[in-house]
Parts: sequence; structure tokens; C-alpha cells
Amino acid sequence: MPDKKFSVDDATRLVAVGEKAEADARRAVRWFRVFVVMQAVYALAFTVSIDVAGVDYWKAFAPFLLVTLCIWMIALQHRQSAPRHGLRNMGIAVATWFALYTLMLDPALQLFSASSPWWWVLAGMVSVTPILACVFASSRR
Amino acid sequence: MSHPRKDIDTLIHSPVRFSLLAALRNLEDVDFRFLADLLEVSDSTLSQALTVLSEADLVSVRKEAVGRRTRTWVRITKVGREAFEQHLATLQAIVEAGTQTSRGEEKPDDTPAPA
Repeated sequence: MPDKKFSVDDATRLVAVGEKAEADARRAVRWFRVFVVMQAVYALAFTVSIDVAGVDYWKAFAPFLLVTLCIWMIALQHRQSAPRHGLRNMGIAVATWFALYTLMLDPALQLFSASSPWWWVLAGMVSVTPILACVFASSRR
Repeated sequence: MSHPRKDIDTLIHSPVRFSLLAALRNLEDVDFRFLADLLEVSDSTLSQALTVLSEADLVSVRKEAVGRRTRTWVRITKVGREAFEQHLATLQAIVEAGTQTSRGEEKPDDTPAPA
């Protein structure tokens, strides 16, 4: 290798450039985790508000739908920095959550006449796990 | 012991390629467009850098058809991650060597003045 001039300042500068690139990249993709957690939190809040707090279904559904649409619109605007298959998996996870809770867990709890509200909280938490799984890179491999 | 500059990896020494690997280091598959915007380089520059790095198996490039468009995904390989970390350690060793040298030069001369 030809012995070109490469000073300590050049090395320092290059290290700083690398650190900046790494930090910028991490910051740019951080939104996806926030998006996933927000979606999971709102999904859980929706199910708890209906089955534990006794809120009317459509009165609970309207704000949930509004928030979901807003965060998805923001996610779609930033889709270039989303992980590969991240948004697709999130869509599948939300559909799975809805089906799991509405078609399986909620009817099952009613069938067994579960009286404690904690059963519905537990069911809500179990049903949002597909959404939370999207935080992990292994869910996309 | 030889100077650390002799361990510099010329393949990833270029600022663009070095920044590219630094950005990919802790991420999963990354979109080509996102990378170009992040690194503030043109598509052709990024494409050239990716070609060089993928030929050396430091990154993997995957094209995916999305409707009528093609999306390009980039991921750092295990070899690439190790090469980057090795190169980063070399640069840090150079900085450290330079810092020690300058500390040695700044050390005050405590030899007694002649009578």
C-alpha cells in the first residue's frame, strides 16, 4: 500500500464521521419502535375501555380509529426508514390482534362467564403481543 | 511494534464507504434511498460504494419488486461488521498514538538551568 499522508487529525475526523453516521442512522429509525409501542398501547386501551370500563363500543372505537390512522399516516411518510417488511408485519399484527381478541378471547371469556376484569386485561395484553413482537428484528427474518 | 497506520483497510478507508458501514452497523436491512439521504450522497456514489463493498462481501444488496418499482435493501454482513470494527480500532489506535506523541512533546523541560 503506498504510504500516503494520513495524519492523526485525519484519523480523528474519520472516527467522528463514522460516529455521526452511526448516531444519525440510529436516530432515523428509532420512530418505528415508538410507532409499534403506541399502536400496542392504543389497542390495549381500546379493549380495556370496552370490556373493563364499560365504554360504548363505537365511542371507544372512534378515537382508537382516529389515533391509529394518524400514526399510520406518519409511519407511511417515514416508510423509507422503516425496517424491511416492518410496516407489512405491523399490518398483519394489527389484524391478528383484532381477530384474536374479538373472535377468540373475548367470546371465550364470555362463554366461561369470567367475572374479574383482570381476565379481560390479561386477554387484552395477550392479544397485543403480535403487535409488540414487531419491535424485534427477529420477527422480520 | 509497527505503527497502526499499516493496518488501515484501504477498502473501507474512503469516507463514504466508512460512513456507509458505520450507518449499517447496528441496523437491519436498510432502504437504498434512505441511505443516500442519510449519508447525503448521490445515488451513483452510493451505488459505486455498495458495488465495491458487496464484491468484498462486506455488505449484501437485495432487490425486491414492489408493484412496478424495485426497492433495494442493504445489510451489513458479519464479515463487514468485523472489518469495520477492526478498521475503527485501527483509527482509534492512530489517534491514541498521536495523542501520546503530542503529550511527550508538551512535557516541560525540567533539566536544571546552567549556573
